[in-house]
Amino acid sequence: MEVDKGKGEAEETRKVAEADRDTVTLKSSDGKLFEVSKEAAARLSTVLAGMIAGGSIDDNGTDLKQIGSEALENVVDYCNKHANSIPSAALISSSISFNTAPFKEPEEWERKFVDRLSHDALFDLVEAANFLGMERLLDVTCHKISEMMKGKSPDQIREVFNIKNDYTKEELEEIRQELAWAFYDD
Amino acid sequence: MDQLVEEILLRLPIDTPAHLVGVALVCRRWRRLVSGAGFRRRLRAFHHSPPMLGFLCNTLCNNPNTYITHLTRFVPTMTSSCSAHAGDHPGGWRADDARHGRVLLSRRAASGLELMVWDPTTDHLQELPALPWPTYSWKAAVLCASAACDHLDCHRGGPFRVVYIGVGDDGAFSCIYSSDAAVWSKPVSIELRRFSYTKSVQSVLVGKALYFMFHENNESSIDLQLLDAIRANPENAADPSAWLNQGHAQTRGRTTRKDLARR
Repeated sequence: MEVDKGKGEAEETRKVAEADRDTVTLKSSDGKLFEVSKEAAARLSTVLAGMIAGGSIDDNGTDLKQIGSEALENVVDYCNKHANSIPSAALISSSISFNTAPFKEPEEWERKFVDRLSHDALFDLVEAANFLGMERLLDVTCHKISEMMKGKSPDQIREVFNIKNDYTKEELEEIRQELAWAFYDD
Repeated sequence: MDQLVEEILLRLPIDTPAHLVGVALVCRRWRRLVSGAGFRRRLRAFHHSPPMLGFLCNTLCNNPNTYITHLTRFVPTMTSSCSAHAGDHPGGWRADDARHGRVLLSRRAASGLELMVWDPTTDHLQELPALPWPTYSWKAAVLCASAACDHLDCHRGGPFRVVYIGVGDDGAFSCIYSSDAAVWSKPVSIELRRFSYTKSVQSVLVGKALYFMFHENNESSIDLQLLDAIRANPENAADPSAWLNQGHAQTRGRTTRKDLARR
C-alpha cells in the first residue's frame, strides 16, 4: 500500500512537472530564442494569450520582430518572476481591475526588477510591454519612468526622453509665467 | 510613442502640481498632451480623488487700527502650495460660494453689495457690476457657463455665470450674471415669503439645476425650501440668452430634508 501510494504521488509529481514545462518559445528581432511558461505568458500578456488561443504559436520560436533580445529577455524574466512571486488571487484581481482600479503600487520585487535596468533597457521594456499587451508590466515600467522624472528640469527630461526643445526662449518664459503658481515652492 | 508618454505622465504624483505642470515646458507636443481634455479625464480616473491643495476659510480680521472686518483665508494643506497668490483676501471680503475652479467673494460697501469672482490658481480677479436692486438678504452661486465643458480645468478665462437670489423691498427676485454679456439679467421675481438663507449651506448643483437652501421660520418648525434657480434643457444650455429665460426662477415648494437626500 505504502509503496503503491508512493508511486501514485511520484506519478502526480511527474505530471505536474510536465505541465510546468509547458512553455512557449519566443524569438526576438535578432533571432534569439527564449522560453517562457505558457501559463504565465497567457496570463500576463493579452497578445500572447491571443496567439496561444489562436494556435499561432510556432514551436520553433514565435517571431516577435518588434522586440530586441535584451527587452525580450526582460519580458521573459518578468513573467517567470511574476509567476513565482505573487499569489494567484492577487494576480487575478490586479490584472482584471487594471482599467478601472486606481494604480496599484509596484510590489517590492517589481521595484527591484525595474531598478536594475538601464535607461535604454527600461524604455525598450516599456515598448515591449505595450506591444505585448502586458498591462501590469506597462504599469510598473511607466511608474518607474515617472519616478525618474520627479525633480528633473525640463532640460533633463528632454535628455532622458531624447526630445528636442521646440519652444523659443520667449515662449518658454511666457509659459513659465503662466504656470508660475505651480512652481512657487520649488 | 505618444500613447506611452501619456501612460508615463499619468503616473506623475498629482499631490505636487509642479511635476505635471513642468512637463508642459518640455515641448509643444507634451504641452498639448497634458492640457488636452482626454488626458485630464484619464488623469482624474487614474488617481480617483483629486489632491486637496487647501481650503478657504471665512474668518474675522481684528485690526486694531480699524475695526473688525471679514477676511477670506486660503489655508494650504500641502507644503507645496498650489498658488503663490492663493493667500488671504482682507478688506472685508468673504467667500460665499466656490465651484468649477472659481470662488465668489462678496463684501458690504457703502455703495451696496460688491461681488467678485476669484480664480485662486491664477489669482485673476473679476469684479462684477453693481446690482441695481438693493436687497437685505441674498444668496449667490458661481458656476462654469460652458455647456461643452467637463469642468476639469474650466476656470482659465472661460465663461461663467453668477446666480443671485435676493430679497428686497419689492419681494424676492433672481438674476444671473453672464461673463459673456458682462451684465446682470433682468430680475425675475420669485415667490418666497418670510425666509432667511442658511448662510453656512452652500448651493448645490445637481445636473443642470442649482439648488439653494433656506429656512422658513414658522412658530416651531424649520422647513427646508429649495429654489430651483436654473433648469435648463440640454439643447438650449449652450445659448445663454435662452438659458436665462428658461424658467430659472421657479420655486420648488417646500421640501423636507428627506426629499433633499433623494435628489
